[in-house]
Amino acid sequence: MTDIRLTRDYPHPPAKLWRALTDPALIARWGMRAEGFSTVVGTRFKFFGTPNPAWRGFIECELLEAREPALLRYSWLDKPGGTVTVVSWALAPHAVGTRLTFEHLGFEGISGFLLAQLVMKPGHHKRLFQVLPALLATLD
Amino acid sequence: MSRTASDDSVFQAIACPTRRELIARLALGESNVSALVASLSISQSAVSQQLAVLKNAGLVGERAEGRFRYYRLRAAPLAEVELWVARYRAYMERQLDALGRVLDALPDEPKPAARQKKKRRP
Repeated sequence: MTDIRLTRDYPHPPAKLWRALTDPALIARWGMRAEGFSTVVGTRFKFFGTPNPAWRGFIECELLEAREPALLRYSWLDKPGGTVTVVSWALAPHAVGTRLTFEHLGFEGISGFLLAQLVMKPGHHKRLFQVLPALLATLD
Repeated sequence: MSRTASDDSVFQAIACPTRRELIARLALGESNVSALVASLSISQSAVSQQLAVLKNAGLVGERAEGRFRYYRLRAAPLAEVELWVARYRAYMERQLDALGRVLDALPDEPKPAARQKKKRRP
């Protein structure tokens, strides 16, 4: 099940994006602070953010795949006993730069269902997609 | 990003395809058991059973009118998911913006390699 996918083109070569995505000092400049990160498959590391009442403030990850400079994939667990999901960053040469595709996969249950219906494939259930927002605004 | 604590119990109610079909059908409007049976080609006992699961999860509300009971989606839990998705996407868009700024400020070659090149020059 595909849940969240974002694509962005950058006017920089894949090797440079790879550095920005895998060097902890650079990661911290655009994303969360990574602790223990390495591109060795099996490495367990953490991302740290700001804790809130619903979140303890860090994500537990394990590196699943690293194909320089094309694909980075790691597991993602945001709370004990939660669903383990998977984050991937795919880099492909595009025009004069790189097309970066971020995906966050593996959400279960209704969240996964709704993510798929509402976010990823609105055309497949067009009627549901059209009706649901109005429903959300008026019911309960 | 983290989902809120209330998510999981509600959302696990929807692991099964039949319940997803019911949700999709009820998203089009209020309905009763016989209409649901007719439009989904699922047995009446299966519809009743799965509606009960959805009711327990707070996803479906019920009202009686004459001999019929009508079922409708309760939007609050769904709105919560939609909100979470929207916030997560916005959060990631901001990260991708920030990544672009980091890339723009970064030299194309790593610094150590640049230094080596200089040393090789006579």
